[in-house]
Amino acid sequence: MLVRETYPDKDVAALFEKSFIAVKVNAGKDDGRALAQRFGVQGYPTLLITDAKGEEVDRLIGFRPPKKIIPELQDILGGKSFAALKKLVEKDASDFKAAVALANKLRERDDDASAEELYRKVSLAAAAPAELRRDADGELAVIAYFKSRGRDAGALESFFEKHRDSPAALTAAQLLVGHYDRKGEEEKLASTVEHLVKHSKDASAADILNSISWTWLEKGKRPKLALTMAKKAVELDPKNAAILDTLAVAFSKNGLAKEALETQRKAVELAPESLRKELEGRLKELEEAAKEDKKPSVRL
Amino acid sequence: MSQLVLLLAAAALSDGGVKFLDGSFDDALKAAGKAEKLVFVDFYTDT
Repeated sequence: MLVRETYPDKDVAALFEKSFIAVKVNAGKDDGRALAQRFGVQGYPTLLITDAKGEEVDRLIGFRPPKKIIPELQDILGGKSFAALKKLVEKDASDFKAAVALANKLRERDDDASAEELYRKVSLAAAAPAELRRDADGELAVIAYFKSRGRDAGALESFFEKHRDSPAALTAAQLLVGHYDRKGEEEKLASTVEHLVKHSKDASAADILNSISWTWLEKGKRPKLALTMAKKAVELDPKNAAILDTLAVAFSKNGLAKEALETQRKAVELAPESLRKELEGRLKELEEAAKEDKKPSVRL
Repeated sequence: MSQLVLLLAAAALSDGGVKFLDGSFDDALKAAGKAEKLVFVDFYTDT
């Protein structure tokens, strides 16, 4: 995915040209294995950033599309790397902004225990700005939910109810949608979806709405709610072929053949090479179903 | 031609836009020192 989608991107390439010497290391081979062990690399891909002395500055674990990797690398270059944040927090315990940013990075490294400690300090610090305390509380609720292995959503629900009008409530809402889905709590699910659709404002939220919508369509569940989420996802990221594809399928599953065809044609037009064949296949299915003058039915 | 220039000249466009150094991590450190850049290491496996 990095090779197909991220590295060919011209904005990513320009950033690398200006600021990085990039090298690939095969962690399955002798020298690469030793280097991976030296840096404690555990999952792949791991994208490690070091200074010229070989000291780790930061790391990104897992796939990153261009729109995600660019701001992350810019933050690292702009003094908000893991190493820089760690120094800031060690030097000044009242730098609450740095503490929350560092905790977020620790969570990404699966070090929830250290992250929790930092969030807790911020949450309990009367001197910390209210917004940061709220963010820390939100993350603590998420950690508590994961610690309970998805069984106890109490902390998430309280956080969501208390801060439902703030952007911080969106992560809780996304997790609650999954939770209510698994528990079959349809009424709570519908109202949380409504909240998500109303308050989601950026392209990263579009990916999440798209993902939930697609999952339900694949399982043949809740076509109306899936359509509502897919419409919002397209509104937030209108040129994303994968999201348009989901919307087309959602139209189809709701018996809206004409809208499904129009949307899928647009998806094919905008599709990157790696997706085009799959989307063209789905367009063909929709066209054939429309010719037969029956309710379109696509295979997922 | 300096070793650095040779190293950079050997960079391949194998992934389209981003140019990856055709060398080791140590080569990348040397190049980064001279160019005042950071090193970006993509750890991957074949499997």
